[in-house]
Amino acid sequence: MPPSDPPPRPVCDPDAKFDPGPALVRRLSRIEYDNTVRMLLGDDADLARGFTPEEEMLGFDNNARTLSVSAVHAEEFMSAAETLAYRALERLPDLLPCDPAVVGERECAVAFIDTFGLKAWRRPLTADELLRLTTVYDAGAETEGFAGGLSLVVEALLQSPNFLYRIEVGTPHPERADLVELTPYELASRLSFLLWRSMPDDALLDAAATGAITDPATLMTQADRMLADPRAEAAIWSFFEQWLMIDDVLSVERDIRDFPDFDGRIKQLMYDETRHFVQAVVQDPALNMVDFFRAPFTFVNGELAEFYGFMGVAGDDFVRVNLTDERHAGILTQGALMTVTAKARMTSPVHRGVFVREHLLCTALPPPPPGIPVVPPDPDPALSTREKFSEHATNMACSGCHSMIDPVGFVFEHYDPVGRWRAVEPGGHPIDASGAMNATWDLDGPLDGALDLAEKLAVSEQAHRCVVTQVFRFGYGRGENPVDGCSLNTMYDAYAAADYDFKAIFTAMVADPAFRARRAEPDVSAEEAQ
Amino acid sequence: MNRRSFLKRLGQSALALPLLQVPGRARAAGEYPTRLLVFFSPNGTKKELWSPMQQYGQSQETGWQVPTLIQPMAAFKDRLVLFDGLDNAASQVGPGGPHQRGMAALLTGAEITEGDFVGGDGRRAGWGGGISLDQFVAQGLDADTRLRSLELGVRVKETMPRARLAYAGREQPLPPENDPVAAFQRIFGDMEADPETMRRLLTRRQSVLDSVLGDFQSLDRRLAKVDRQKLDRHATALRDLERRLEVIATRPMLCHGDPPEAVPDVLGESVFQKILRAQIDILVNSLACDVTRVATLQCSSAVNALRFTFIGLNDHEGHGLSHAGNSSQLQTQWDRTLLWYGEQFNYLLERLDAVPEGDGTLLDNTVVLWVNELSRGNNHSLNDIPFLLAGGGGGLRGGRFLQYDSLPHNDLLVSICHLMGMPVASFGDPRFCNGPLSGLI
Repeated sequence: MPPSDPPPRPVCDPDAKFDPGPALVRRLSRIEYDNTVRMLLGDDADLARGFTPEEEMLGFDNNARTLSVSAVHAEEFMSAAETLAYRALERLPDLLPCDPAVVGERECAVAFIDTFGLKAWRRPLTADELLRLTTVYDAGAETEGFAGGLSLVVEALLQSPNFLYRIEVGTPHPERADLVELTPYELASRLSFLLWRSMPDDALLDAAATGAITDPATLMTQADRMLADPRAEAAIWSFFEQWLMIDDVLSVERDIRDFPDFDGRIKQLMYDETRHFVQAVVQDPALNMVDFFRAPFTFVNGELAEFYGFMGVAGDDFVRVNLTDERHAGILTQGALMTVTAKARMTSPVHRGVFVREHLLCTALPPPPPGIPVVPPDPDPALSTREKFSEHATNMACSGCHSMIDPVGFVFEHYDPVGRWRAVEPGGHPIDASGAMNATWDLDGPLDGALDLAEKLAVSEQAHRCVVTQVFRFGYGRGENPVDGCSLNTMYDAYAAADYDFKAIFTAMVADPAFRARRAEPDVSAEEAQ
Repeated sequence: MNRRSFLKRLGQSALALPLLQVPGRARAAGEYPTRLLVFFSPNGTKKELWSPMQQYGQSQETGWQVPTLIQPMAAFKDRLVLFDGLDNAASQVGPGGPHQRGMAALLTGAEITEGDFVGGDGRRAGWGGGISLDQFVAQGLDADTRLRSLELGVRVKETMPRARLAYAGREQPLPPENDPVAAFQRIFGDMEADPETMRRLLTRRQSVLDSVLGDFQSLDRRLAKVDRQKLDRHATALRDLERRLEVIATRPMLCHGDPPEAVPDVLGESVFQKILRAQIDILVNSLACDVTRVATLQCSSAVNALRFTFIGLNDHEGHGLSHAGNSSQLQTQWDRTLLWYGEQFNYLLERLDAVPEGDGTLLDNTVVLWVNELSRGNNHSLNDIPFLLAGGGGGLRGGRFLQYDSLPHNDLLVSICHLMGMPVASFGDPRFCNGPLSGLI
């Protein structure tokens, strides 16, 4: 049966014991691997772009459950480590903490393993680990000399689970046997991979080394410093492009006869448009997530403006244009979003409706019931898009769910499959952009076009709660559970109190006690040894 | 050596059918290994044009008239086995939509797990709940080949359960390689390397891998069970990599085909057929040269946005066409896509049959299984799946049409294990398994 009730609100039971929820080991995603290598080795080859793509869950590439390793991954990590180690030799003087001519080659190699190893593994090496890597150096140095030995060490460091995964073992909690607190180094990595999708920098590693990072005020100071860094801007965009499926626009395919001018350049410009827009919403102190939904402006350059039919914009640089045409507002009507939710030759009210429900309102929709024919729209050009989907409303088997989907999707009918505003449909049908919303907390009622929906989303608690939920999924690399109610409420309250400043969600997430702890897991080494 | 310099050195050769040079492979008939090859096409078929019973009312095991959708492979009629009445029973439980459940259970015979994929019946769908047939067979064969198994795909763009066929184990999907150039490089890239260089490289890599495996061993075990399993799998993959490096360094490549042509956008709609054929060529060469004995080839995924523009069908995606109502004018377009898949499968059989092995061909030593996650697209039926076997591996006898009364397809998976020399009693979830199919072997 369709969910005729709105989704439940997160519940925080004030009497329940504090539970930070499960925290799984997380492998670096491709973006995280490249970002980390850039900071660690100064190498911007972006080799991980060629790795096997991550299995996505809940729309994000960093879900802990999906990031496992097969034989193909292992080969990719080996190949990348070999290439990176070889290239690192060119920058050896920058990476070495000593001069081998002065202190001796082996002494210097051991010092390198110690200092570089700490950065690579984001924590100090144990004595055993130092010894193991020295053995690797000796094996390489024997046949290939000093540089060859170091090259092997870098390969071993980069293929190690201590580099490829974020493993949080923690230290015992002072009061609770069922919890552990993250070590200072683990906390530093949690922070940097949340805010930068990358390893901690020197300042953060220093704060971990002294333990200062475990002080809540110091932690927040570090978070503020890092949020002001360009690396945070890139990480936040990584969240938005996945949440809104904007990256899909780069590979979307449209029928070339219908849309001959929709080429690779336009796809890239649409992607850039939304990136500029999101950057403004997030970084400009005068803007917030209310503007995200309803801002009467976007960003275009001359070429994209011409594609959309906007007047008065020239040149290659993106500029902010005010849209007083009553045709555009906020994120909803941007070219990239309208394109990725359409089909090759026609719009798709179903995809657009599902997008609003799942991505913007965090409502899970059930699949079609078993055994009923699921019929594609009749391609008859004599019918309008709305008419093509009429069976969804009249067939009782369909209408339960599709009454939640199609009337939301119909409000976007003024935007064609490549995101341009249109007054009439192909075939000359006038556009009817009326629709309706049901089964929500605060959005139920008739809808009059996309701008009306944008205005309503902008002030909807459910929509803003959903932004918080999506950040939670991205940040913790997992779906939310009932025990996360307190964290979700805390994050939402801080975000609302900050007048819907997007960065406030991240700050509140870092400040939340759940960010510094995890559930304890039993020591099974004895049992496994049997 | 990177891919670009490799290609530069070899020159860009067209996708010619390579003449396989098989030095030192003159073996007596019967000494060739049995191979398993799984071919996937999505979104169901039309059993009324596929089954001799459902199209012509013919129920006999042999001597039936070739149904419309089998016509593209008519030349191989005597090497085919068609099935009626095998249900993807394990896909009819668990969370998620029919495409998700159908895919997850197709080669695992196991219920889909719960996870974080929206699209469930209130619950969220996860991944396949067990090891897939191909991986199980690869493990059982334990062959001393360069690769245990090969997973190739064509335009498998999605990274979710409805796009995964092969599983190393519960919730361990194996993504297919979509790029023939990358696949060729991985399989044959070192074919001209000098053995001395390879041995030096092996020594080097072994000291690195020893250290990395040492890191895995000394990891703190106070982690969640799923995490320990995940890290153990990674260590297993490294040991497999070590084994593979040893094989590469110590055993010369028997033969290889020509490298495929580089295509700018391997995931593009318009090159779908071209990429599929390139992947078939690589796959056949890999089996012929004994690089691997187990392979899967996956044509896109269970819900795909693929228009068949390469045969002039521009208006609808294949998934959309499969949903055409029974009386819709779109049925003829859907039929064309189904015939097209038959033509590609026929090309695969032709290529396998063109490789001589003893008195027969590679096809005689291969079990080819064609699978689909649904029976029919427009009602998402998971019963009476169009399973088809081809080839003569393990003594499989072709030219037959077998009818069963709604048996779980796990029984077919058991029978395939038997053909591959593994006499298991059950495969996948035992709730959906009775043992081998009667009358097949």
